[in-house]
Amino acid sequence: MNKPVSLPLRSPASGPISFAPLPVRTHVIREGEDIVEIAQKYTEGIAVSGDVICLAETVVAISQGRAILPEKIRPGWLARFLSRFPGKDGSLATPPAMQLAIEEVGVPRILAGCAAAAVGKLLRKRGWFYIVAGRELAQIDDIAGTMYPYERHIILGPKKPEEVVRSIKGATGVDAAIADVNDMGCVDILAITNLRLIPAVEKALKANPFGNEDEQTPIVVLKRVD
Amino acid sequence: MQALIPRLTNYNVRISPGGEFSLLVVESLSPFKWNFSCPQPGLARLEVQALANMFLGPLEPEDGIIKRTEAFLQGEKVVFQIELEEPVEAVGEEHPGLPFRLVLKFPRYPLQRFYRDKIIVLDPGHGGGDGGWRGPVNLWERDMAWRTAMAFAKILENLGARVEWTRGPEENPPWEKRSAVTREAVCFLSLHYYGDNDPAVRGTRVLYNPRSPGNRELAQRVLERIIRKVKTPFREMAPDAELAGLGNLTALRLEPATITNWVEEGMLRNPYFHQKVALATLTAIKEHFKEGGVVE
Repeated sequence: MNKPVSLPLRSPASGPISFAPLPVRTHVIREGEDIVEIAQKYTEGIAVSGDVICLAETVVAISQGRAILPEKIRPGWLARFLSRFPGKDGSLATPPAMQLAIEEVGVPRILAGCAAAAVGKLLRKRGWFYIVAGRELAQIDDIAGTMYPYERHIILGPKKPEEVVRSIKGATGVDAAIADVNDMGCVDILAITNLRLIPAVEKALKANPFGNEDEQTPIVVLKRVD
Repeated sequence: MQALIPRLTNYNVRISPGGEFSLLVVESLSPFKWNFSCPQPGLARLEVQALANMFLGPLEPEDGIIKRTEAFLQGEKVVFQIELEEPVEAVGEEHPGLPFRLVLKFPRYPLQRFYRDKIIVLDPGHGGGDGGWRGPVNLWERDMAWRTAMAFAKILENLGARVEWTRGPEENPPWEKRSAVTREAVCFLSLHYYGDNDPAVRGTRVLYNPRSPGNRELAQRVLERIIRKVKTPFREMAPDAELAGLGNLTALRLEPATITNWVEEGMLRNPYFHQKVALATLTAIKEHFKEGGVVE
């Protein structure tokens, strides 16, 4: 999904758009649950037109059955070799996660990504692996990257996030987004129903209202406050 | 007008930054009416006039003050039943804004009273050139033992305890030197992470000083609390010959996780893991002594 070039973001009343985040506590979402129904149920009476319903990418992926136990993966020699190179605090540091990455995008793209990463390293530029191999690989949460009871799983990025947000908007009448956010202030919007809202949504999610621990708040309603 | 109906969106329990209070925080789209009472010692009840959009399932913080909270619907109210580990009285504070927050502040003075001026010895199991076990990705037992020890020290200092260290980060004294602790110490905690050549081995182990009265029971409490808090499997509880050299001193060797296991190595990257281990252990120690454990 391409981000728009910087548009002057203004509300109809001509002030800048801003949101207040309202985290919503949910049950532990599991494989096979309908994420659109879940979003509708927990935001009913809270989210209205002008707001944005944001979902943490991990729970969308879990509901889609994309949480995988490493015991079920047989890492090949390439995965075992390549997993030595990425940053150890990020994704793809274990052979099973690297094997899943290979299965997601194929060997040629992974190798092209590695070549790009090597060039990037020489030029002291980071992130070239993901630019070439595929942005979706950055969304893989390696072992212990998410909360109990999924801490033993590797969580792949969600499938078809654009379809999910469109369905949520269709069911609720409210704009929706899927985001990957961490405690270091990095916000990655995977999909959103209104591209013009991206800067304001990113700003509102910067403090990670989803939480990164036991909070159990994978849905955040951004209430329009401008 | 629908948006004006108070709707609860979230609730959680956390410890205030300075460690003075356990906080039960209830968040809502808009302000709500509430009533707080303590029907009996050790039990508090919060009634809120609002609808609940949030999941009402229980929380089990077990932070030394709040043991468990349960929320349920009763007519047009949401009721929070709060089970306390100590019969403290709380006050409520409203914080206007979006979300509107009600914060119930439960003072943590029972823990502060217990730990104030007590000497706790922290023994990070490895240091200097001795890295201990290495995880399959890249973590070293030495670094994780120190990270856990620092989490202990932070909580203990907030509680007014005096921390004594058996070594500096770059030092590597032998056990004989590390175990030569002051006679006034109340407790000796040796911090390690287990390692095994089999990467499938995982779980938590607590070893205890068999010569110190009640240490087996203490080890059992600590082990149970750590497991509930960090969700690791039980591995072992056993007497430890090295700790026996400390005589009557209450002494435990904690191995909260197995660093050579892929999953548990990953868990150690999370700073909350170390805080949870420290809080679970210190709460269990206080509980043990409160219920008749002997301070030698």
